[in-house]
Amino acid sequence: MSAIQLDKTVDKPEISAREVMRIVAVAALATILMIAPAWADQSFISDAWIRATPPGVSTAAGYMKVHNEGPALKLVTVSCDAAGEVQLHQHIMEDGLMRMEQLPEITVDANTVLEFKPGSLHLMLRRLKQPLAAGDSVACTVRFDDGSVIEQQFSVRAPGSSGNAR
Amino acid sequence: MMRKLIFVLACLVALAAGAWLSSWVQQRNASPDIQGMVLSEPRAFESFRMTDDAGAAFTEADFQGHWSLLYFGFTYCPDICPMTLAVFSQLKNMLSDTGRANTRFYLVSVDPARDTPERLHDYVRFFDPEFRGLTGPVRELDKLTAAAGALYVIPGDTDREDYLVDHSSTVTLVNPEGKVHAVFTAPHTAEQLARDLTQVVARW
Repeated sequence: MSAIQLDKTVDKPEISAREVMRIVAVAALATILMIAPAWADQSFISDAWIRATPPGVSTAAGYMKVHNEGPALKLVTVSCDAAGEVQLHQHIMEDGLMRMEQLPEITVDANTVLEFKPGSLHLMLRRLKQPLAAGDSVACTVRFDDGSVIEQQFSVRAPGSSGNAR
Repeated sequence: MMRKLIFVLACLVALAAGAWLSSWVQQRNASPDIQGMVLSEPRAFESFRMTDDAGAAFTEADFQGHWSLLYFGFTYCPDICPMTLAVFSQLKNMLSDTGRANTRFYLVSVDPARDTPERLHDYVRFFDPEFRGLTGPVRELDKLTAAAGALYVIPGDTDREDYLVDHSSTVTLVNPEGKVHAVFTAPHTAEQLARDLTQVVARW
């Protein structure tokens, strides 16, 4: 119904310069509105989880995937409500020893996904304020060198949920 | 003529027997296709005296009569140790009833200063109620790591309450004679360990 009515109204082809300007302005605004969220959301995090802690243990490991859909950027700090400190750690195999090395920052290359996973890159949560049980959720803040910040909820999973020990 | 025929037949029989024997010996000795290695000669432990997580004395004799899987780690280790114990727990559930009954799982602490039997007790049981923990003075611990080919180093300041320990990521298999039999290398998965363990045990 309305489509037919629209067709009828388009019968008059004359459009004033003012109307053209208005259309251009609306189109420009719409374009900006569509692009803006993409600018703000160059990077995002998925699969964020922390392994449940055994009794008496004050450290835990956290994992996530950092998706960077923009130019290269550096992950500089992570902080979580539940921990006194969060460090960026990498496992290194050296002379038959599994060694953990603390990294000051981690570069996330342009248009890549950086994966934190068991036995590899991971977050080390130190001085936990309470034990973490499967099903809990931990609020963390991930900061990048370009000033962007991602607030991310990490879910606490059972110790066996890592699947493969890599 | 007859004697010649008997001689040739005897030669053929000897040849066949030799071929069969050599293939049998090769099969027995061939290193199975595992992620790790089987020791050509199982290695005995130097007599040691550790403490298990129940507070009882534990010596090399306690490894006898069953297969044992040893992981050298520590309870403050956030990533690789819980991950490996979780793999142990999955592995245990994958074994047959007989396999399960004949296999014990140990976390041997490379951090005896902090890992008391009580602490180990709570820790290992978080992963499986039948897992055991071993701890003891460094000189006793070193007898286990030496035979198992495991290494550990405390690189940082032990005054910090959550210092870390660098350690081997291997899993050591001890045979029912209480000797180090095989070493499995990381990365560990329950599936891989189950396959390798089955292969090695089948050749025992």
